[in-house]
Order: sequence, then structure tokens, then C-alpha cells
Amino acid sequence: MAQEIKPLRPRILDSADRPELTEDTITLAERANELAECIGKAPITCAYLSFGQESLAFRVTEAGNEELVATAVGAEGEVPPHELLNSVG
Amino acid sequence: METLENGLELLKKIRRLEGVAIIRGGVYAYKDLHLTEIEADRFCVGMVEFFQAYANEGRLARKIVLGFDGVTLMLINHRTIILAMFYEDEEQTQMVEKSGELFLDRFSEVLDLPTKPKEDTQAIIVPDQSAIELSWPAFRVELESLLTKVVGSGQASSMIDRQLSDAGYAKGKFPPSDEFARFGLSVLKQIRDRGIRGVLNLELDYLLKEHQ
Repeated sequence: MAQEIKPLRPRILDSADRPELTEDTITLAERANELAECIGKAPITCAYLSFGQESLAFRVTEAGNEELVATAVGAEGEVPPHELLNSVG
Repeated sequence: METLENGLELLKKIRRLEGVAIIRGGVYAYKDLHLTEIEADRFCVGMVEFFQAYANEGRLARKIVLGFDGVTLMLINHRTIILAMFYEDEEQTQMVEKSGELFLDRFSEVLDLPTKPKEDTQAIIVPDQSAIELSWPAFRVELESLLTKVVGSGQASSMIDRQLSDAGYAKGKFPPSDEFARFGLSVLKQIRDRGIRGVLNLELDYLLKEHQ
């Protein structure tokens, strides 16, 4: 029986494929901005969060504007932050 | 013996970090941040609350990168430890992440961290670009890059040439790939500062493992 070959790199999915991520993204943006406020750096311009097996990242259109422009998710393993952030612009 | 503080100072110096901190058990175990005391205290509480909020949802946030205007923050969460690193250029993210992971590996005993789980030997892993055998030109570039963290590029090149000569290689000749580790360590021995040499040795080891 053929053994399954694991994909080398986790797949990066767009938020269009995972609509449930919108809530995760908004939560991350809120919590990240709260942390940024602690050091007088809010608003954030981008964010990456990894839970190990799943990670997400987004950028805002410009500092001060919290409109989310993209979300990407790596499944089946941790996508490094530079890779996921690059995938969202 | 190298202390945790020395390790963090070196990490900050080599990666040109703007700030670095270790939070253990909800308080700073070490901090070297460009923040006022009030900001630093708020930041500590904010970080703990950030991770706790996810933990309360049953999700372990492991790594966070936040971009602000002009500075980037990376947080790596290992059990009760949070390693915080501020750096100027988001382009540095990959190297900062590597250095942070290396630091945590190196000080895992001091920080009382579990060792990394072994790779799943059942899975067939398709080799990626990094698994391609390192050629001498590529290795030399990487070694020079390591050296230029502490010396000028001209001196870095001279150090490699000198070691090639001392090891008996004629002009245009170089060691085989299975000798890269030994050769690299010999070159790094020329770095007098033991602490810096130790960090560079680790980075060399990491680099070579990436290509095994």
C-alpha cells in the first residue's frame, strides 16, 4: 500500500476559503492593538499569530486604518511568520 | 559558564535588536527595553493578558509578530516563558525568529523548557531546496555572512582564506562538504570573544543542519 507523502510546506489559504477566520482576525487585531497601546504604539500595521498547527496573518491598509485587507492561514504545520506576512502583502 | 543575561545581551547585539525581554511566571526575568518603567510594566501585563486570552479559549498561542510604525515585535511563547524581541526592520523577521528559537534551545535547561519532540519518522518528507547539499561557494557565502556580524566583510574573507591556507588547501581548492562543519568551526575559532563565538557556532550548526 502506498504511503501517504506529506506536503513539504503547509498550504496557505486565503480567507475566501475560510470565512470563519474573519472572527479570528478581528480578535487578533483587537488584542494586538490593546498590547500596542501599552507601549504607545497603536495602531498596528500587521500581525501574525501561530497556534503551531495553524497560523494567520493580516495587514491593515495603512497605519491608523484598521481595515483588514487579507488573511492567510497555513494548515498542516506552522508557517513561518515571514512567509505568511509576505503572503498578505 | 555563559549566563542567561549574557546570552540575551549577545542575542540583542548580534541581531541588532532594539529591545529584548524574558517574562517568566508573569514577571520580567530579564528586560532590556527602550520603554519607560510604566510602559514596561504595562507591556508585561499586556503580553500575559494577550496569551491568557487565547489560553482561556483553549488555544495555545505560540508565536506572535506585530508590526507597528517603525518597529516590529516578535513574541515566542514556551510554556511559562515569553521571549520578546523588538527589531526595526520587518525584513529581519526570519533571522530574528531563527535566533530566538536558537536562544531558547540553547538555554532550555536554564529556562526549564522541554526538549523538542523527535521528528515523525513515519512520515516521508519530500526534500525542499534547503535540503540540497551545500556547495562550497554557497557555504563560503553563508560563513562570510556569519562572520560579518562581528567583523568587516574584507576581514571575514581573509579569515576564511587564512584557514584554507593553514589547512593546506592550495589556491582554488576547498574542503569537501563533509568537512564544512569542521572547517567552519576552525574559522570561527579566530573570534576571540568566547560568548560571541558560541552563538556563531550555534548558527553554523543550525545552517549545516538545514542542509543535511
